[in-house]
Amino acid sequence: MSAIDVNAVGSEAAKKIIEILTGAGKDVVSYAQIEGKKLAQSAAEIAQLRLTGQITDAEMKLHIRIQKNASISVLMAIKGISKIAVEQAINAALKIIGTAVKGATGLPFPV
Amino acid sequence: MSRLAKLPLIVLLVLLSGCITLMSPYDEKFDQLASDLQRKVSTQIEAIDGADAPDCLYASNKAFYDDARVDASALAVRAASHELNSETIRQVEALTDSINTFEELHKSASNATPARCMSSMELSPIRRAFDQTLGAIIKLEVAKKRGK
Repeated sequence: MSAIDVNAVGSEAAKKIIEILTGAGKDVVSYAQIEGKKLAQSAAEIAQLRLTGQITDAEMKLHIRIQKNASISVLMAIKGISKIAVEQAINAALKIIGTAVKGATGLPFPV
Repeated sequence: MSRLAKLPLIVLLVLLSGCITLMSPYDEKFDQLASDLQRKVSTQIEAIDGADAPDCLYASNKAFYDDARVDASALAVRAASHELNSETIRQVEALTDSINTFEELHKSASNATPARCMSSMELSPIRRAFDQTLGAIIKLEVAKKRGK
């Protein structure tokens, strides 16, 4: 049985985690920016509709409710995609660690 | 056994189990249903936008809301059938509420004196919001493929 280089394996696992989370983070930021602009545009349009008397106060509240639901859906997508990224990062790190342990000990880690 | 003492055991179990799962698997049928509903809503908004009274009024379009609610209910059932799917379940709840709220807006315009068609300007934020709501639902579902 050969020794496991804990520092090297730990470093490689950490690098993989950072790589995956950074990639996912960039995608999420880009998505959030695009969707945030759309919500702002819709809010401006709704305000304009009310200011020009095209809709009532009650209708404005209903419009805002639909926008709130859109923002919930977008935020839930961001949360879910982030969870998937964390899952992938952990699993990639476990694969690296498992491969190292298997190589050093011969134990059949499922990697 | 203290929580700290259990930690190495937990780490070992995680290693032995191979991999962890934090989100439900991809559901192709759910993805298809959501995409179909997105098209249906989009088509309906376009139809209302271009129509004159009485075609644009709520009474002529009531069937759409009932139909959309049935589709949203089917989405809710599929979403709830998976473990680790709370985000998608919340998205479908938001979608269902938006369908009901859109219906309220449509009724309100049709019940005005005189009855009025919803204007393009009024439909613009609604169209965008449904695109965002359903787009986000589809985006999350597709992400569950996990690069496969």
